[in-house]
Amino acid sequence: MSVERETIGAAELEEALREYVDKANASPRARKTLATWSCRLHIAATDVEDAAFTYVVEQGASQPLVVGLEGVPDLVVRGHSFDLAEIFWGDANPVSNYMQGAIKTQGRADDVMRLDAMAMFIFLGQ
Amino acid sequence: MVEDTRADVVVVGAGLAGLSAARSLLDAGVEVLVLEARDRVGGRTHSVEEADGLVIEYGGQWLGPTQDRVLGLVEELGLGTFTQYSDGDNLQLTDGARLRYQGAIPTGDPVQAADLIDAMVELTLTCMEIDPARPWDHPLAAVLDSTTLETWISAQPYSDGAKQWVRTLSRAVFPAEPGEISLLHALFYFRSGGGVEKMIGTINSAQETRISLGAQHLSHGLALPLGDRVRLNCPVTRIDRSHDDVVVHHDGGTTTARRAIVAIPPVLAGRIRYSPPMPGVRDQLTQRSFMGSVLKVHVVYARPFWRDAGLSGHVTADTGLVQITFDQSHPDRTEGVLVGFIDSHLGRTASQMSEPDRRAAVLEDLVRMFGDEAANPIGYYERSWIDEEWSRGCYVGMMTPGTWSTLGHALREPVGPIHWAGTETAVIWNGYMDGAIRSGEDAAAAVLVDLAAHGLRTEAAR
Repeated sequence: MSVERETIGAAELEEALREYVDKANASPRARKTLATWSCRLHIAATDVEDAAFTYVVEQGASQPLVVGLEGVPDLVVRGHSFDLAEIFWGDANPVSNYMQGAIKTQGRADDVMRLDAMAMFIFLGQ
Repeated sequence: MVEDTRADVVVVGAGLAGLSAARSLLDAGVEVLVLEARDRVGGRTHSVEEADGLVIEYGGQWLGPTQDRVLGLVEELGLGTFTQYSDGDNLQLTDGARLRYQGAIPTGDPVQAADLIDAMVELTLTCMEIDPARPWDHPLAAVLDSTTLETWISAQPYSDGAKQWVRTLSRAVFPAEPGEISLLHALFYFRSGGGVEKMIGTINSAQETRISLGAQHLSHGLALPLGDRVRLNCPVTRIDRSHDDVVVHHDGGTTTARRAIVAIPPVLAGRIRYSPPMPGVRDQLTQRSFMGSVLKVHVVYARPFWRDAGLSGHVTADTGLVQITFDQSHPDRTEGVLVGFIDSHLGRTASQMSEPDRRAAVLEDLVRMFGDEAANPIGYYERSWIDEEWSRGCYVGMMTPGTWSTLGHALREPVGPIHWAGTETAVIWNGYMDGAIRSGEDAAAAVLVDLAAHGLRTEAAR
């Protein structure tokens, strides 16, 4: 299925991701269920050259976002800027069949599952 | 015709496990004979092309990522594949409501959805602590194995709807009532498939891909180079064993071989008579193994009308006989096909109904899911795997609570010259076609080591 999507600039994507970090820290479900999770994520848009971020979760707490790729990641997340923004804004179901195909992850299955869970809690407003 | 035959290795069962074992042995220059009770190969895969060319998949059918062995075989055999149709919304019928959602987790009720995510995370993280080759080694194995999945579900602080959905999930995945299996078994099974999320979804999950001509063509492809080394209509009744030989008695005569690989579910392996008898722990294990209960129905319509309403065809329901459906339509054909699963206790109930009554109940369920148009199919096909003599259930054999932790070690351990295979013995993707292939290849490798260790020459070498 080919989908026309607008490109989201790096600044807007950064804003969306910063909001996502705040929502993750404010989500009681995410904090409780993912309380033991620590993970360094590299997140990059495939269609925007300078849209790459480092997102660190320590014991379930999301740390302030870092612009650029820092350190050795446990999990790499790549996708079109529009799809990434939809998830970060909480507008799209991150585990919909479309998103499962559109967002590519590289890392351990349990880290992928926890990231999906966090994104779902935010999407559900939980 | 009754005849006495010789081979290096005799394989019992021409499903994916037995045929994979036989092919691996043949490739290694070992003379094999495969004995199959049915009049066909394929075991729990059975693809039938109807008169109009429509392929009905009565048995196993889906492939997914990380199922490397079966995907490799598909590629090797040059079989065409297609992606499971999953566009549009899934439906959850719960408490009389009809909720649309996307992905593997129903999201119509946010609190219930969050509970389900909690359950998925909890089960997956715990299952990652299990060594799928040795579940009995987990420090809490005895506790986990004496706790049923139902006990675990009931004890969680989830909403009633979420608990009900996890029960439906249990019936669909195993397929067994959550009270029939231990938490250890459930965790082992999830671990062998890479986690709950990998097992229950379509895209990027175990239900992602289908084989165009049908999954049974995997077995046809494996059987082809084996030629007349595969004997059909030869149920094995008895296996005599000595230190270095087996004599396998079957409806076609007897076969003497250096080693045997029994590649059928443990509960059926336990029905073969062995002389001398199996060690007590092995027999106690097979006594405590049981097959899942499932009927699979295909309902064919002139067109996939549910897609007009933006529906994917995938439904989970909390009532009715059919509580799980998928769009089974073939992309190259115009018919719309829904496949439904009647699982667990519902399967046992349905297997006792008359065919017309069962069909009426199935259509009633589909009407509730998809509307009145579902009442008028142009074709209906069903298979009760419970009633299949040479499977006695599907998709997979399981252990009763308390078995893994006390007798699990006897599952794969050879008994003298007799080795075991079958998807039930697989460490990875246990219960799936991929696991069956892996188990057959692993058993063949073990037999080759065994033969070499005992300095036994093969027929070819003689």
